[in-house]
Amino acid sequence: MYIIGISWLRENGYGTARLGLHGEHGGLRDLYRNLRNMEIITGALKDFGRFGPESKRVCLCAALALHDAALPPHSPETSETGLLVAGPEGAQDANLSYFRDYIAAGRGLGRGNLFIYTLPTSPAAETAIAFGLNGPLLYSGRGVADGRHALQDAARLVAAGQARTMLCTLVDRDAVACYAISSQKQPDQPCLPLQDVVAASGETASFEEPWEWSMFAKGWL
Amino acid sequence: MNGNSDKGYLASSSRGGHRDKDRRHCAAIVGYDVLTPYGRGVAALWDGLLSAKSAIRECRQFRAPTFRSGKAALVALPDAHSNRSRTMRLLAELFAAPTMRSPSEAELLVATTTGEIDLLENTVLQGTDGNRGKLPDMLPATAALAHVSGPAAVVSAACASSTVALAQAMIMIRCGVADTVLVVAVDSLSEFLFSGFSALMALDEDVARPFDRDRAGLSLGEAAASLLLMSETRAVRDGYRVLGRLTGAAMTNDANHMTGPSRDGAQLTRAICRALQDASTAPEHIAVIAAHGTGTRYNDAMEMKALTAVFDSPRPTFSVKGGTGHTMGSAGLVQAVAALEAIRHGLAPPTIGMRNVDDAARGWVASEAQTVGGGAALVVNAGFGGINAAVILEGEHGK
Repeated sequence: MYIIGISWLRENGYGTARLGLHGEHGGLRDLYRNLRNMEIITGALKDFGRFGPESKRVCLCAALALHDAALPPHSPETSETGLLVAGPEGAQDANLSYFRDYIAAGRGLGRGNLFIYTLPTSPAAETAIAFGLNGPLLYSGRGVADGRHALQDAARLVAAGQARTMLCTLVDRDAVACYAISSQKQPDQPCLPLQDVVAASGETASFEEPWEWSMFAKGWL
Repeated sequence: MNGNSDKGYLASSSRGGHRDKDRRHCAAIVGYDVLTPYGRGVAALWDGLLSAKSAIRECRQFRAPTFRSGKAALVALPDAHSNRSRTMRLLAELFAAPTMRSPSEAELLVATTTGEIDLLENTVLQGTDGNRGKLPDMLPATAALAHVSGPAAVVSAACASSTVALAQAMIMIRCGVADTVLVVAVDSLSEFLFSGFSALMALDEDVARPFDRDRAGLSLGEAAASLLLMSETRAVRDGYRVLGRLTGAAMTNDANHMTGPSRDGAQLTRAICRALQDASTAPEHIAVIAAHGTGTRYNDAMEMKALTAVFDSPRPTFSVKGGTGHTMGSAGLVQAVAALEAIRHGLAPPTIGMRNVDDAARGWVASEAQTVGGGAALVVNAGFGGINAAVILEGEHGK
């Protein structure tokens, strides 16, 4: 099992491990424009402006990971790619946003365009639509910051033949990191054995810095 | 890949028959239990479904009369646990009189969509801390109620949460990561849910009518369920009676729309084909289908397209959602329990709520019970975001 691409996204910066891409951004809209200019995202993503904040973060980080893994969107490869999103928050912010808005509006009718984001899989669903990911799609939450389990859960789905590649996306309030896990190496491209990353993850002090995990791609930096 | 190419691969790999499987690769079902609007226990669910009477009623709670439908299927809960969230009260009632003994070290997967959402509602209404009601926070209390202490995780995949959790549990056992996994599924009714589904215009103003030609939406419900999976080796060693087996699973995504299913059903077709392939089971061996069958126009149409694409002839097919309501994250596990009982009793329960079968479902779904022969069960679920999941179950026919 291999990690064939890694990306990370923080409040002001972003990067990828294999291709060594990194930069600053002035917000998610700014990053979206940058990624389109760099042709990492080709063509406008339908309704991106109306995505919830979590959906934007996950979507942009996944775009970077797909680029790092050399997986073209809307391709036979991404048709066999799934998404596992993990993190302690679930859809908490989206739930609060929806229900506060509903209460503020007089408790008569909620707003459907906010309600559709009140599932922890909603950001993954928007990402799957954006890039044509037809594999398994799920959220996994353990209450403690434990990206190792998420990586292993995602890898297990690949090993079981449920997908050729899984994007394991670790989300917390400050950062998002996305790991493309595959049972096959990409031809002529470096990759990391998953067990090395999982083993190295024991050295991290906290999950709150998932972007630091991308630094475990020592062979790439 | 499209559904047709998957079906072609299936035909070539299964040689048109049911092959004996190496039992080590199956996850044995050694216990299951449910709490539904029909009452506590599997017998209450089965009797309720066979009665052809719906548990969906006028609902005075959750400001239900304000919304598009004031009807829902509620579980009658004792007041003893009223200081807990409604979700925890459902789980407490489910585990109050356990019908199975889970090894204490069992891993725990909790399938849900909104968890303890009423805790979040209260923080908003009272203007207090907004950190309550996060999904993973329900794990310790759930594990305590279930008397298990192994690693635990929440699994959420919209209305396919249970089926995805079952698939994950099966994979964990197959690959030797765990030899016992307790899958618990729960979702409770709330103002949050009522208001949201009403805003999406997804509710039938009356009672849901799955696969009816005049169906107009879903009805909300709530339930809690549990299913204990074990490796065959462990089950034999510890003297557990094997009640069934989870032999195959597959998950796909439409990648099409946030709420509406893909009209062509291609990815659901793919999930069903791959689940059959995973189970080394030919379509002909499927004796009964527990459909997702929400009662919405698009889901039911999509589901029939997928079933018609996979199977050369109709199978006894049923939906429980006209009886129990749509129980969200717990729907798949309730369907799985109903499917196991269908195999055991040799009967597919009537699809409650359906009065005039849609042409696409004619010959498959009926408003009375149907005879079920020997064979396996297919359980199908679809969820918001285009999630599809299918599992194959074998049970004890006639026992």
